[in-house]
Amino acid sequence: MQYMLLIYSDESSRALFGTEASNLAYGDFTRSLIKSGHMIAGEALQDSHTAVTVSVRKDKIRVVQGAFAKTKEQLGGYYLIEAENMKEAQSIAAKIPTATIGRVEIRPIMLFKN
Amino acid sequence: MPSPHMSKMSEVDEEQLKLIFICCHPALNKQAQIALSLKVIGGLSTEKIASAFLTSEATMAQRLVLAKQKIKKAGIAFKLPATDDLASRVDIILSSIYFIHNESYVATNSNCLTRVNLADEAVNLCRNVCHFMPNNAEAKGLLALMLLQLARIEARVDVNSDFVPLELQDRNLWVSSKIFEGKQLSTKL
Amino acid sequence: MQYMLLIYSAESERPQYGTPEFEQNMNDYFAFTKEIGETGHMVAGDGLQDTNTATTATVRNGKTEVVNGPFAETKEQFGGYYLIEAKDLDDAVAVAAKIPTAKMGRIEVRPVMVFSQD
Repeated sequence: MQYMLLIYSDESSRALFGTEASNLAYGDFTRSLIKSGHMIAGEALQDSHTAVTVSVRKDKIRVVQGAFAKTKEQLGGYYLIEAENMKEAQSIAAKIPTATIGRVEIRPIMLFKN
Repeated sequence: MPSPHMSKMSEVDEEQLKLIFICCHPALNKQAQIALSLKVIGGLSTEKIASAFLTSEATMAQRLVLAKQKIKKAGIAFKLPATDDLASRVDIILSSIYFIHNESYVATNSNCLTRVNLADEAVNLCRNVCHFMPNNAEAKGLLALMLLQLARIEARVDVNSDFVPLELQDRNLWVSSKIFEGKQLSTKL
Repeated sequence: MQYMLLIYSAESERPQYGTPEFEQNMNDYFAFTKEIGETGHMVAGDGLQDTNTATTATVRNGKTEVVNGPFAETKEQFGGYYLIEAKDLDDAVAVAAKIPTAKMGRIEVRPVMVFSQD
């Protein structure tokens, strides 16, 4: 089954991202995920202040500065993984470096390929 | 592609117009838009912008750095908006200009009721927009509005820095050239 | 440049499975996905199951804690994403605006971080 692991953390603590230590930790984690065959995809996202939020109402496109959620913890990245079940997905999520300072949401993917 | 309501312009003019649109991109927050517009289009120094908004130079410098970083990180391109987006993007520019104008016109934290420099900057920015988009009625309308308000700036405040209502203002202190231009613009709308 | 288009909408407002609206929504999404495949924007995309299937994990002091539910209980919930390749932000916004859910929800457009050592 496919799961999305959504990595949330306080962006001020995210200044850690891109540091030597963080890169090493994530590098190790990603490599182990590939090795174990769980890895499908993963990306880090730029900070929430680089985001815009788009909506269309009455055919008019509205572009607003900022991320969707105005929460202290913001989405910083994700992994898409293949796992046996939710329990296995959770144990993988717990190994994500940011899990120790932030939170990881685990959500099953909807599968409806046409 | 330039829309019909923008006149044929020189390459230099088009580059300037692109700059204006970038400075007021909706991906930037209002503060960033205003700081960038005054710096990049208005050519004001960071120090001057900071003092006009009663912040420290360091704060303003940081704001500008973050804005430029955001432009780079978010991938805001140096180009004119698509025809469909033009009207809403011009709206953003005009609202930022009007914000700058209002900052000067109404007392915020200063003792003096007016801060004339920002008012002139807002007018200059608006003149820029009118120059590059001569068929844009909203830009002309805003310029007229600001000029008519500015014409009375000297008369709005008395020697004690107190507000003087319109009926009591000394007409001799009204700047007739601004009134003239403002009226001209509004009759052409 | 790569952008994540994060799709948010109120779960209660989404078309319910089995209804004609649901069919229509699916068709709209297939059409959209096909279109961005042809324009070269499409890199990846997935729908997520509802938030009642979500769990959230944290690790504190070496201990793993898992709670039921999504990261945050908000009115609009994260329901899916597209990863796209776009020329610039305006291009990404134009793509985001075409996502069917943009008409009743909101799409966050976030640039992907690129690491020099990839």
